[in-house]
Parts: sequence; C-alpha cells; structure tokens
Amino acid sequence: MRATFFLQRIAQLLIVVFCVTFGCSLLIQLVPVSPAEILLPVGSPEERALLTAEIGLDRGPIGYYVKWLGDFVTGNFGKIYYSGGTEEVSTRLADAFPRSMWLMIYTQILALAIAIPLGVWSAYRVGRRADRVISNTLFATSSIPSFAIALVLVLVIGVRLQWLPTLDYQPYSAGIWEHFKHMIMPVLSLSVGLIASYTRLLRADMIATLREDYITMAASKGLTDRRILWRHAFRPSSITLFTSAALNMGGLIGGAIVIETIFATYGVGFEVFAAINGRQYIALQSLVGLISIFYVLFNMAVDFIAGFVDPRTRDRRVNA
Amino acid sequence: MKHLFKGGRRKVAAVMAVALVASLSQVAPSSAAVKPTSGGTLTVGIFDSFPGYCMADNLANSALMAGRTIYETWVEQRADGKVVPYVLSAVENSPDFKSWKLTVRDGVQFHDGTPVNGDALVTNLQALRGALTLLGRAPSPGTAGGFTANIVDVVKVATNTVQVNLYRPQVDFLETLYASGRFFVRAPSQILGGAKCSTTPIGTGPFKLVSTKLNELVVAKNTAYWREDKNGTRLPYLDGITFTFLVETASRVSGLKSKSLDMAMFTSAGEVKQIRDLQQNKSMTVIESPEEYYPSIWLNNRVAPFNNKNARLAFSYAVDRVDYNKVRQRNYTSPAKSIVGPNNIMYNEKGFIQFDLKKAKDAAAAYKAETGKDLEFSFPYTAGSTESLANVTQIQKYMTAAGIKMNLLPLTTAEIIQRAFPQQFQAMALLLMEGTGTAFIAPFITSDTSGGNQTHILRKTPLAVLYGILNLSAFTDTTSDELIWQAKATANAAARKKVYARATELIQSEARLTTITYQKYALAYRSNVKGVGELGLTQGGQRKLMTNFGIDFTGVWKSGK
Repeated sequence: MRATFFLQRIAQLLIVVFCVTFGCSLLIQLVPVSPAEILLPVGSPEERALLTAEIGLDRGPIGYYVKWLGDFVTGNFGKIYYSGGTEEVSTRLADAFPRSMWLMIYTQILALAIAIPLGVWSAYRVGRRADRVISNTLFATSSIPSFAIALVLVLVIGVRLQWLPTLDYQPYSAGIWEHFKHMIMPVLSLSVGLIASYTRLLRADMIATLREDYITMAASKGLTDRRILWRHAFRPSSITLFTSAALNMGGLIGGAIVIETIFATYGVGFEVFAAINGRQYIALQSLVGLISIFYVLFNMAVDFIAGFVDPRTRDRRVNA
Repeated sequence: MKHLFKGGRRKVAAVMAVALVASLSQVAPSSAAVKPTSGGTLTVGIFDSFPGYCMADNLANSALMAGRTIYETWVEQRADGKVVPYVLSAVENSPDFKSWKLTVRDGVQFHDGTPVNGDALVTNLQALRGALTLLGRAPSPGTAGGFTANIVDVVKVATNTVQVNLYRPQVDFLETLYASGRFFVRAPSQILGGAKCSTTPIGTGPFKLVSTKLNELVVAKNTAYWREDKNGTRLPYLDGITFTFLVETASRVSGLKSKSLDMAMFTSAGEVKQIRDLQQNKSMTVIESPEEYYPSIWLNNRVAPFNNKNARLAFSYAVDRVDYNKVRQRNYTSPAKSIVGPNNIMYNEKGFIQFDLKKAKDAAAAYKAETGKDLEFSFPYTAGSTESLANVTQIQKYMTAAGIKMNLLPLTTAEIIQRAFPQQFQAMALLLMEGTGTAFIAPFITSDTSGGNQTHILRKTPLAVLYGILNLSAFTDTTSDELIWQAKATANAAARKKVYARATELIQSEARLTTITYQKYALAYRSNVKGVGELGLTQGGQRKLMTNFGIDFTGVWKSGK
C-alpha cells in the first residue's frame, strides 16, 4: 500500500514538472523576437543560426522541449549567454543554491520552533488573556511585510547598535559564527510573518481537536494536560501546519528575492530575477523547472510525514 | 564687522570655506603626511551589475570602476581633461592628424604573464573595430565598432609601435582611444579565448580576477604590477577588493553606516537624498564628480510624431527644466541650458529650446494643423522602479499642461536597452553623453561614425548598422555631421570650439534631442580608507578625482587593518 502511495506521488511530481516546464518552453516559442536575436543583439545571422541550433529552437516546440528535457535530467541546465561567451547555469546555481537552502531551512526551523509552542499554548488558553495577547500580537505582526521588518532590523541592529552585518552571505567555510552572523537578520525578517501564520493555523486546528470526544476521554482518564496536548492533540492538529510549511519551503527557495536584495545574500530568487531581466530564457526555464521540483518534493515529503503523524490521512488518501 | 567671524560663526565660516575649496578643486581630504601601509581589503557597494568583460559587454558607471581595477587603458585622462599616454609610453601624430603612432610601454605584462607589446595593441584595436569578428577570431565588438569606425587600418611598425590610420583627420583621436575609460587593455588570450571572453577578464591592472558573477566582482592584488609609488613601494597597497552590486540605495547607505561596507557609490539620478544624508555624517567622506554627465531625451526623428519638427519643438518647449531640477533633483544638479554641460567643448546655449508653455502649445497646434493628428507618443520607463516612474510622471505632467498626450510604457531595463539601439521608441530618456571632449558625444549625434568611408571594413556586412546605431534620435543632418568632422580636424582649440558650437546650435535649433538636467556621481567612504586621489599619473599630473566610473584604487590604502 505504501508502494502505491509512493508511486502515485512520483507520478504527480512528474506530471507537475512536465506541465510547468513544457508551459515555460512554449512561452519561449511565443516570444515575438527570436531568443537568438535577444541573446546576441549585435551578432551576425550566422552566429544567431548557430545559437538557435545549439539551443534547439530550430527543432520546433516538441523537439526543443525534448532536447531541453534530455539536458535537464542529465544535469545540464543550459547556459547563460554573454556577448563574448557563455557560462553554465549549474555554475551559478552551485553558488546561489546553498544560500537559498540555508536561508529557507533556518527560517523554517525558527518559525516552527516559535510557532508550535505558541500555537499550542494559545489554543490551550483559548479566550484567556494570554491567548488574546498572543493572537493580537500575531495579527499585528502578520500585517507587516518582511521587507519592512528587514529595514527596521537593519536600522536598529545593523546601523544603530552595529551588532550584526547588514550585507553579504558567508558560507560555513568562513567560520560558523561568521555564517550565522550574516544569516540572523534575513532569517528573522522572513520568520516573523511565518510565525504569525503558523501559530494561527495551529491554534485553530488545536482548538478544534481539543473539542473532540477522545480528548475528553483522555482527560477523564486522568492524563496530564501536557500529555494530552502534545501526545494526543498536537499530532492530528499539525497536518495543516506542516502542509503550509512545505508550500512555503518551495516558495522561499525562489521567492525570497526582496530579502535577498536587501541583505545582498543573492540566492536562487536573484538568479530568477536576473534571468528574467537579461532575457536568459534557457536559464529561466531550468530554474523554474528546479523550483517546481522542489515544490512537489516538499509536498510529497509532507504527505509522507502526515501519513506517519496521522495514519488515518494516509489510509483515506490511498482508499480514495 | 570685525566680530563677524568670532567663535562659532568663525568655525562655521572656516568649515564652509574649506568645503567650498574642496568642492571646487575636486580634492579629497589628504592623507599625504601619513605613510601608506600595505595590506587589508575593501568592500565596496555599487549600483551596477557585471554583464561581462568582452568588447560588447558595456560595464556601466560603478561596475566600470570595479572593472578598471583589473583593466587599464592605453591612455588616461588628466584632471584638466587632457588625454595622455598611460600603458602607452609615447604618442606621435602626423601633421594632418590622419595617422597616429602609438608606442607601448616596456615592462608591462598581462595577468596571464604575457607581455604587452605591439601585437597586443593590434589585437585590441582590431577587436574593437570588428576586424577580428569578421575573421571569426573574436566575439562581436558591440558598439565599440561604431566608436572606432573612423579607423582605416592598424599596422605594427616596430615591436612595440603601432600605426593607426584614420579616414577623417582627428585631433582628438586619443579621446576615442580612451572612450571615457572604457577601451581596456585586454590580453589577446582573453579576446581570442572563445567562450571565456565575457567571463574571464585578463588585464594589466593593479588587481587580478578572483571571482566574478552578475552581482559581485572579487579582485586580489596583482603582485607583478608595473607601478611603484614615490617611495619605491610596489603598488597596489590593498590585498584585495570586493565589489558588491546593491541595487537598493538604502542597502548601500546602511552598509556604510554599519561598517559592512568601506565605500559605496551613488548617482544623482534618484539618490540625492542619501548623498546629502551621508554628507552630514562625520565618519564619512563624500567626494563628487563634476557635472559632466548629460542625460538626454532622445526624440526619434525617423518615426512619427517626432519626424515632424513642430512635434519636437512642442516637446522641448513643454519641459520646465528648472521645476524638474527642483522637484526631481532637489537642486543638487543644474537645469540644462544646452544638450551638453558647460564643461564640454560643444556647450552652446544658442538654439537650445527652453521652457515656454505658450510656444509648446503653439507648436502642438501647428503639428495638428500639419498632420491632422493630436500630438501623442509613448515613453518607456523601468518597470518596478519608483524613481523611473516618478521621473516620467513629472515629464508627463509638463506634456499634459501643453496639451500633449504622453503614454507611459513600463519595460524592464533589458527591454529598454534591447529596443533603444535599433531606435524602436518614439522617445526615451537615456544617459549616454558625457565628459569634456567629444569622443563620448559625437558618435551619438552623427549619422555615420565612419565619416562616410564607403570602403570601411564593416560597410558591406551586417555590422554596418553600428555606424549609426548610437544616434538614438536617428537623425541624418549632413550639415551638422560635417561641422563635427570639421571641428575634429581643427588643430587650434579656440577655432575648434567655435565650429563645435555651430554644430550644437544647429542640432539644438532643430530640437533633434534635448536635455533636462545634468548629472553627477558621488562616492562615500569610511575614515579608514586613505589615499583616494593622491597617486598621480606616470607622466605627471593627476587623474580626475571622481568620475562616473568612480576612483582609481591603485594608490588607495586602509588604515587600522
């Protein structure tokens, strides 16, 4: 049964990635000017013809897609075209991807680490002063965009107090403290909004779960509140939270462009932006393909986790 | 009266006097009394990205400053505007200014260890003019092909000497060779290196490439650099520099204030508030370029409505330059009185169409009477840029007041550049013209940069488009063309200026293009950065302290490392 479930998810992944990348490749065919003309604005007709053949644009929409896909699955994500040469997209990604990955991982860890206890506590104290304070505070913070938080952090922590650097990314190889020092403010900026949204999601689900009969039964059996909250209520209440987290993970990989720009961390989001701005269609198609794969992979992972956390979910989905 | 400068007032007056003198003489605070120390690195925030390093990859402004740490130019421009040999050791011209002998300095080598000699100079010049592209040996020259189209041939006459023959006499050929700091001394291995020409810069500069990507350039000290300071210490002093592209002005300002950056560059186009803020900061030094950058409004003379003189006049009369300068530039720069600024040899107020709302309305009415159509056009701006939108909205306001309909066209920067050079817009704003001479002016306002040479190497090739591609207003005026070439052939400076003035007057009275305000650039750096502008040129004299491509880093050092 688990094998069927796994195969279904793999099939879904392939369908989604196919739809996204094929759609992208069709868009390239629809560009009014030939991509070769855009990539080589002052090139000769012969140079443009060579480029067109190299990219595969002379093979028609299907032929082009098949060529691109063949390259993509073998790890060849295409090239960035300059006036005097090319650069492999994979070279750019090797630098940009770890930046986005760490940013996304730290952001999720921080957001979940704060949102889970807050959500559980808020649901446990529903209607009380603590719940009202948490809910109102989160409502207020969720309405502040991440770039505004980033700018305030830069001004206060970076400029006034000079505790942390306001720019750049440092890899682990530069030292663990150097690495974290440069990640704290971008991670905080992205986390605040997520903390608010995760806490509210978890709180709503927890409140509903705490009204279930089996919770009343557990309480009447004399189990401690802590045990009821964490063992019996939290697990079934966390499905929405983790699904939302998974969706955000995909989004954070390619979508943190504003924060990447403010803190000059320049990850995958910036590469997407640069590919759009520079009309690097092949690079853009590969980047979109990769981001869509991450989206689907994270969602698949959540489906598996949900199955473990709440076996009813897995059985329902397989039987459906 | 005698108490006027006592106490606080005296101090204020003294400070103002020092500031005035510093700004007028364009001098950075001197650290000459302190002996420079070697070592240390700098992090510099810039507002342009790195599109590549081959001939057609035009590094803009602050990215050009970064690129010039790796590359040098054959000639350099002194603070007084004169262009003098730099990587060249000598220059000799024929009496008719149609032939120039260029001799390369001994003992200079590229970062890959190969010597700079006559062959390297020939390779560079042939690549710039497109000769190597035609042979399939080098990538496209890009717009450089248009800039150098007056060159007929390039011949090596001795190991280190090359003769350049021109089609039209050119007194200011060295300015063309300088191209406002853009014609680098590139290693032949880079130019002829195939796919790596754009990504692997190899020059002769004080720093060598460590890594480069769209948003960052990291360079390290070139230990085999050819220059020494006056004490015999091998230059440069710094171990390395990291240039980081920070599109957000706020990021550059906060980077400086939080000490994440040592230095950052700014432009008067939309960053005046931040420049003034930094000027108030005591831990910061801010230096400014002269007002030698002339953003133009290019009116496309080839297509409607601006193929009609009344339409061009209506536009030019409608723009309130004084108001624009106040609203958009906070009076940081000056409103235009000519298509170029007062420091430029072509400056002439005669014929320049100034703001006059009544005349604008009359010209728009005359256009309608002539064509039967209301005066209406589209104007592109950078989508997503609030500054760009605010600028065009301000111009739109003036047009509306004159009864002219201006439609705004949001496009990406890449799209704007893409469509600008095939002259596909009806009108557009773009800063191209700059400097005190005409090397970076004339190609944009003449119709054929080859001077009409029918046997030029690009003439019968697709690259022939480069002769006129730089003239974004797409106009052909043989009279102004000839005046410009005539001026270039005139040896006497005063006479030359007069001929240029006539060309300017003609172009302005036809309203081929117009200018609203002039522009300048600023560089802010922390107090631990020393030596800015102190290192002179090899043949005496100083460079310009600050330009659109920032400063020279060869003599810059860092204290308290």
